[in-house]
Amino acid sequence: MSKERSSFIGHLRACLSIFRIKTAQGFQYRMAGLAGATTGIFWVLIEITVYTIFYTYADTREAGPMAGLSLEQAVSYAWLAQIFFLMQPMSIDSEILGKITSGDVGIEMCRPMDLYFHWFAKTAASRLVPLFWRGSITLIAGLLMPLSYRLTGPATLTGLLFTLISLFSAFLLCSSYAMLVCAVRLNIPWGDGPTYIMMLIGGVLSGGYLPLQLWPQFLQGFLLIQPFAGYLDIPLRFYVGTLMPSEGGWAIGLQLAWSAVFMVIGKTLMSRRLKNIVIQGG
Amino acid sequence: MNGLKLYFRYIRLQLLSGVQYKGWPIMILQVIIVVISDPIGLIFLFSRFGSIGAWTVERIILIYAMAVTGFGLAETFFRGFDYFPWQMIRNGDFDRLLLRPRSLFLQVAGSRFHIHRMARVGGGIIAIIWCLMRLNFQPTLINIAIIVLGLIGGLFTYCGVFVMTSGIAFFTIQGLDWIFIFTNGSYQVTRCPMDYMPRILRYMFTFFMPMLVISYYPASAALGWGEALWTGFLALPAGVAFLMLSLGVWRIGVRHYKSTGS
Amino acid sequence: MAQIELSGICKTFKVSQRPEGRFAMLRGAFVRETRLVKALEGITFQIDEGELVGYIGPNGAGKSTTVKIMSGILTPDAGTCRVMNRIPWRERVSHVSQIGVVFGQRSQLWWDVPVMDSFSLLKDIYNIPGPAFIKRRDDLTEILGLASLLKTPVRQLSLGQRMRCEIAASLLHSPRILFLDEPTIGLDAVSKLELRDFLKGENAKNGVTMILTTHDMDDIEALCSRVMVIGHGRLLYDGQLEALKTRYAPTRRIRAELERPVEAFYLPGAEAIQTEGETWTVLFNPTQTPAHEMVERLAGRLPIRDIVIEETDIDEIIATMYKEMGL
Repeated sequence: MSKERSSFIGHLRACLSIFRIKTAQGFQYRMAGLAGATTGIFWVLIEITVYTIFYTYADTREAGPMAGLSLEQAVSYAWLAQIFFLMQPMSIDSEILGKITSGDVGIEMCRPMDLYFHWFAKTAASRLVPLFWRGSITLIAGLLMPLSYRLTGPATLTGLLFTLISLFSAFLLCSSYAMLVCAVRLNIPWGDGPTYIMMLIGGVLSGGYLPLQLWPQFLQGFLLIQPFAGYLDIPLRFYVGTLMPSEGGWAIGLQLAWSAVFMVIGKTLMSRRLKNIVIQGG
Repeated sequence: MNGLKLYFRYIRLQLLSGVQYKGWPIMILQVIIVVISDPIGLIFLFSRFGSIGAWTVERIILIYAMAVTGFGLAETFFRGFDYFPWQMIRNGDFDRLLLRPRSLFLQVAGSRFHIHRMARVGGGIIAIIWCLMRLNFQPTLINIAIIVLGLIGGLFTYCGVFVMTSGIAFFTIQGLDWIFIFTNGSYQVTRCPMDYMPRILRYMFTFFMPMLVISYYPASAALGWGEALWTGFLALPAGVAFLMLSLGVWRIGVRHYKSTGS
Repeated sequence: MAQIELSGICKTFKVSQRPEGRFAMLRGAFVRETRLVKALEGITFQIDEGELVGYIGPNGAGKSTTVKIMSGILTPDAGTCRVMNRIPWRERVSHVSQIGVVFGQRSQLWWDVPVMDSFSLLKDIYNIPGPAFIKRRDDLTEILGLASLLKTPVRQLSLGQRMRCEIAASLLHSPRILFLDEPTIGLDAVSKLELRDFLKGENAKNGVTMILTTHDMDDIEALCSRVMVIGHGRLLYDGQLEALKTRYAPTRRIRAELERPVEAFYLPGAEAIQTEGETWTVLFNPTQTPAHEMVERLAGRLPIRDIVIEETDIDEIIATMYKEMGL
């Protein structure tokens, strides 16, 4: 085995074990998960109520189905959005942030592993952690609701399959964006403002606030190709049936392409900053 | 020096140290983005679906903005209570407050002041004025008083929410996530038109945490949507009452802290 | 009547801990196991106005708890406590306006603003009249050498500088009693000396009662004639420092590094001599032979490269005490 390949596998193994440790750490936050789930469920129920009111009583109530999204689909979307919204970076992993603000990045660099991938593994694990408790409780609640409020099954089985694949690429997308945010934060040590704005915009454009199909018509084209659609909207469209498995190729491809873009930009920003730190001594 | 003056001295101190912080214009931008992005979904829904009978986008946004502005006012002036559970209790800084011969409420309230939170108030007021104009608001003295009292009532109500959160924080940190239903969650409920709002939510947010009393009823009274006129004036007393309740919880919390240490 | 009177003070804490054993994590989700920790058991003492008392004991013995009760931020489970004829936790505002508390680890100054601003905010908090405040501040600034520090934000000060400002801040309102909780922790030797001198002077000049909890025996030696030793929540000793040392730690050690190994020989005053290569460890009784005399004797007879008089370890004293008392 060549040296590069063995070191890459070594890297991968190291990443996975960091990943495992971090998820195990997060496993204990059950109470926070339950409390968070309750808040989330309350939120979804209000959302569904609002959607129902619009779909049933609004002056132009056909506007929903005309946009390609029925009420039932919107309800399922709302539930799934509430669950997978948690995967999105809303804040920089506190461990990493601590290292950045305290200037301990220099110490991190003494480890044999490439800093980007090291932090990638940590961040990726942070993305998943809330899903365990809060996500599963919310999922169960969604399945148990009375019919008009319920999370219904996937449109087709292949649709479900594509949902899962798409969710995995969404996970990569979220993690790589989170890393980009970290890299930006490294370069802007004086405050959280810019990075917070970055994450907020990502959240809004992901469909977490409103399914992208219900956004104004003239934005639809833009909304589909922008990177954050891949966070949430694309996987959920597969589930709900508004995106056919046949179109799966380019949709998932888009997610992965944006992931790659984020990774490249993130890694470049980080490397440049880290070189600076090495020269100036943190 | 009396309490109010001291509070403003605290605020001045926070302002001075806050301005040194390089990122403050960005923080204002951040709040503006939050303020706009929160109701954006609702606005898009209205643009696609049109109004719901008599409930136009202006009506809903007005009620929403009243609640949000009240929240923003409380956030601006009582920010210390927002930070309290997570920072002060954990650091043991509360001991230091107990050692000063001043009201604890005042000290916590003045412990933080983030001027950029005013951006939320600014945005809210702009939205309120815009909606009032679109809804043919008659700017008589009484109507203006109703709106203003509504906002002040909102200030007290949300201040009460923060104080109650801090009081509960003396007992448990875990349970605090539930409180988010009443802070961030509460003004989301305004997105439901009143006629269609589930009754249980109506009761909860009228009689327990009077969010509707400081937003919907004043708006209705000032614009003649059908609720009795006197209900529009309930905002201030309801807010004060809720704040009293919260202060009671706070005091119980302080007593618990003094008997168990940090 | 004494300024501070404690009688039979007891305090028990409930500490929650994770359950252990089988199914611990599962049980932990539903049940919280608590155990009772008796922090204070029947503490009784009196302190008169103007005294400078040392309050020592190992970690976890109950020192901070007692100070918290005396300052009024903690309520005891049993017993009575009167400070300046008030019950501290009942009359918080009037009590607290007449005491000062210095925590070694935590600062009472505002982090991001100049020291001067902190001082003037304290003036408003404590309602100190203008002329009195100016005089007090100027006095303290002069004695503690703060003039160059006043315009600096607190976060930019070194630990020693910050401690001096802390002490000044705690005395601005001219309290009758000053509690100091580990004030010299982390300070360099020079700062420690300066601080001790200041406290001694303030106590002598203005008659401020001082209660000093500390781990550092040298603080006690320099400042206090009276010490109270607390261990396991009980007051083990309340009396003069010299008597304490004589009783429980009669032996001190001198360690000398020599230029070349020398075999042990008889040295007057030495109770025991250990040699290890070039190091001599000499045990002696300082009440019979003062430390400096021992050092002279050693220096006169041995090729000394370095010599250290080891400090009396408070933990050793406590350990000896515990052993004697069968704890």
